[in-house]
Amino acid sequence: MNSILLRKELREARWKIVLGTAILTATALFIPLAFNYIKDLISVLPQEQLEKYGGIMTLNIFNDFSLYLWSQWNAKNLTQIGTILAVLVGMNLIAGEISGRTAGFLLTRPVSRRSVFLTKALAGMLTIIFMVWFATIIMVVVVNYFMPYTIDAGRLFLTTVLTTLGLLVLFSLTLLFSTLIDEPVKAGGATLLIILLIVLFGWFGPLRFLNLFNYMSGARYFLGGIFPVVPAAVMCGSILVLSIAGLSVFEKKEF
Amino acid sequence: MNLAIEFENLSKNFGEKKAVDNLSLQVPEGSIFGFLGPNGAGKTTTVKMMLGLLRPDGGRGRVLNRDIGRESEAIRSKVGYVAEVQEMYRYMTVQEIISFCKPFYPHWNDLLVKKYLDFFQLPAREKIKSLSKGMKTQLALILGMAPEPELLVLDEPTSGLDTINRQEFLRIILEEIAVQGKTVFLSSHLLHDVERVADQVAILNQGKLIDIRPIDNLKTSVKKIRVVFQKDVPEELFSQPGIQSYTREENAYLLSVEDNLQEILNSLKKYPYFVLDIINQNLEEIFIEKVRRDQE
Repeated sequence: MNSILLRKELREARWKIVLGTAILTATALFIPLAFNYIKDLISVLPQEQLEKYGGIMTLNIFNDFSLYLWSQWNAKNLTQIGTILAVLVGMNLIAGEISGRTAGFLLTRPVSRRSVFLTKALAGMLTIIFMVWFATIIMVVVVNYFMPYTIDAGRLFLTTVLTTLGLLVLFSLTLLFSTLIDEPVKAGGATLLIILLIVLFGWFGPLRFLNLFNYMSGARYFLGGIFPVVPAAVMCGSILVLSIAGLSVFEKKEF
Repeated sequence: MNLAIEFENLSKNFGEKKAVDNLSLQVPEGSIFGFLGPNGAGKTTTVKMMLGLLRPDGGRGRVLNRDIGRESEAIRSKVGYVAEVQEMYRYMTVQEIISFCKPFYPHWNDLLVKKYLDFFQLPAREKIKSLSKGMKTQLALILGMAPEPELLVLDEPTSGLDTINRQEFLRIILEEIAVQGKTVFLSSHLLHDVERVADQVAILNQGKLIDIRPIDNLKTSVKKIRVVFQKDVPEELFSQPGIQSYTREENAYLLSVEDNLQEILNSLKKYPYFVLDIINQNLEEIFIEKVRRDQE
């Protein structure tokens, strides 16, 4: 890790950090503020329609504010917006240096490729972690201090750990493609194709276990109370494996 | 003799194309070494291998007594590099890119940076994206010299400069680097520039080294001889060592000669002639002749 490079990476990512944090925070604030409005809206719908299309969950989430927050935040908005942000943060890190032709300038300084790659990976991960946790903490603080609801903040935070791990897996995948493909948009596109494939796994019963998004939502923990140790470990392992693969490609890459 | 650069059968292929083909050369410490070749000869590929941007497919190379494959980072800490197209971070200002580069190096000459920022009138608060190509090259030269490198590698550095700036550029290299006994590796196809400053040259064509020697030696040993004989002379006269090629029109001959000049002249003078001139060649003419001959 190189502090000069880290400052450079964070500076280059500053607009992504600002906009990503703003979008996530706005969404995080909208969810609790919209609780009564959505609850009223749902209540006017015919019961049989709700049971037919919304399932039991739709009814239950309005009886438990923590459940509502989780279902709208971890299981939905954070996962969806976070996925897009993870790809946007990662796709430019290596491919951007190549397409901008600054890689030659950077790599002719006395700095190892390992240091360059790991610093970029760290900068990207810190960016994602900051955006996710800033928005989540703001949401919990606002609910606890300014709204008449009580929430299980500990459980929500622990679930957010799982969501963050999933987003870091997607970021590491994007970084790998950013190393393999010299064009940022193509690297992002290739990652999105893989993500689409992962989503498709969720549609087929026997392959469901391969769907990362099932684990990212933390449903098993939030609804069942059992922390998914193995999936969490697999996500950590995936981050490590994808990062090592990216590093290996980067160290062998010719510029 | 201490060597700043030493290549032994260095090779690099891009698919079927041999970009650098068994290149062996030695660059003595303290020399200004001109690395010449037409476009696509393999000059930039060689420079990139020296700096660890490309890996050799064969052979070995040492720069400042360090292996180019295994000790690239250590090499780069002692090498200044100015590239043909020096893309820097466009969003940074001149001062920011200087501050960004400085911590990477063990030495950094702030006085030199200030001196040449003032000399080139480079605005410290200007963003890189708004600098002209010439200003970027000047900034790259400052960044290349500021770490007080033992070796300055210049890859077509003057291509984007006008005549005045090119002369200034070369003068600064002589004043700041060469005078201090540091080595300069100047890769270029602008032969007038190389001729002005270099003390040794290597000529590369299609990845192969076709000549390497001190520039004075090159200019004294490579000549053209124009001779008009009074009557026909035997063809064997032109097959002696040192005559690289010749053209003939009636009894007038134009010989390209390399080495063995005196013996060739003596043998030509054995036959009655109207005219016998020795034509000196500048580096550009020698270069064109050698590359053309190599391509044949």
